Amino acid sequence: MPRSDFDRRLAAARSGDEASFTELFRSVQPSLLRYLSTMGGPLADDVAADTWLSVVRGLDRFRGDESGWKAWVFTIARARLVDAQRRAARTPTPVDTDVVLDGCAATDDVAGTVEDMFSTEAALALIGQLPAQQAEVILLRFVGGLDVGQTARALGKRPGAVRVASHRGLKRLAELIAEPAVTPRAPGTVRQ
Amino acid sequence: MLTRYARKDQEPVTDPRLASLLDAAAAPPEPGPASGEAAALAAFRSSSVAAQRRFRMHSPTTPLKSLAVAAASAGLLLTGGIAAANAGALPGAAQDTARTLLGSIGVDVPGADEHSAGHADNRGRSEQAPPTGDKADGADPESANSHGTTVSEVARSDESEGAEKGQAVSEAARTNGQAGQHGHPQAPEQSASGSDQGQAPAPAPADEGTGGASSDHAGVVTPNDGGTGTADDASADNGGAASINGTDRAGTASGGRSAAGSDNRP
Repeated sequence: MPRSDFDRRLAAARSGDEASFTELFRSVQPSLLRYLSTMGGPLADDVAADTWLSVVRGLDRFRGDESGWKAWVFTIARARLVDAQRRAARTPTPVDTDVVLDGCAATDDVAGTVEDMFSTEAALALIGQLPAQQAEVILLRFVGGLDVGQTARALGKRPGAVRVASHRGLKRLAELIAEPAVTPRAPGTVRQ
Repeated sequence: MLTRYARKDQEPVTDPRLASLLDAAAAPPEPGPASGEAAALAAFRSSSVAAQRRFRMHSPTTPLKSLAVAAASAGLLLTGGIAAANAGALPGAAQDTARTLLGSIGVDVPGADEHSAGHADNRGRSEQAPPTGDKADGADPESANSHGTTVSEVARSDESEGAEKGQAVSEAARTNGQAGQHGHPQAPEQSASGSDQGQAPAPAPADEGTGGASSDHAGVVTPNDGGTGTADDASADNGGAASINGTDRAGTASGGRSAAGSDNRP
């Protein structure tokens, strides 16, 4: 059975190859930071560092493909985030910020301008307006790229509950976008 | 574009603005180092170094050093063992083994019993132990058994009846009982041989045995000359009744040969 690029990179990283580890890191870190910054706000960088520390320590124990690799890293990250939030003993505080969507032209030609409507930060800010469970499901599924089963395992929920939360989150996001004045909150201000 | 999220098990997103939002949220990162990459690499390096250090600890990287340590330990143990064997300080079995092994290569070391003056060789042989207790100076059990047999035979004898028989039994029991208690197991045998000798016509030993004591202790103190002769002497001094008693007493004391003794009466 031929080995995939991911398998070769993983094997090289296990043997101490920094370049291979860097590739593995870059394949996950951007989406991981988006998830953490949306759900944890200022805790994101510290939680991400703790996450990779755990990943490095457990690198030899991981078994799976690239999809499983992402799910494994996100699962670790979520556990670290929960720990960090407990240590901080605080909940995300709503912060009034400038409207992310300022400057976004309101036009009827949605199809032609949709690519320019949202920046990544603005999109994450809108997702952050969702209830925490829906926001987390949307982030894990559409940003992290996890499927229903992996998301359910990461959150400790049933796949059916994940599907319901995803459906409701997408519906709520569509409602938010349709509102005349979209005032997304800053990242990390999701409602609990 | 709108079907981007219809892959896998994800719900298809038909709203173009919602699709745009999700695209923006999952947009590819800018090329180059990601945030936190330096910290992750530092953790990775430290973990790799620690793993290599652990590998070195478990790997046989210094076989010569290990061999040298093992050889030194073995040499020290051997030297100490030989020194202890030479001083005779090893336990008995180990000292004997060391003596055998070292003797085969020409090294003489003392044995386990070298300093015991031979005591160790005299242990544990019960058959060599001297006789002790009642067996050494007590009465012969066979004599005690024969006493009962003698008394029983006198009691069953038809030679006398009534008071005479009772007296004969009493005399037999008393006489032999005293002999056993005083530790003279040879007396019945001597009397028996005397009884046999009594059948011989030679009277001289009987004459020698007619000392004053023989009339009172005919079956005990008469050494070798037979009860018959003593009985005869006693009967000569004391009349017919005494002769009968003496004959019976001598026969009783002769170890079950009283019939022969009685027959020898004149």
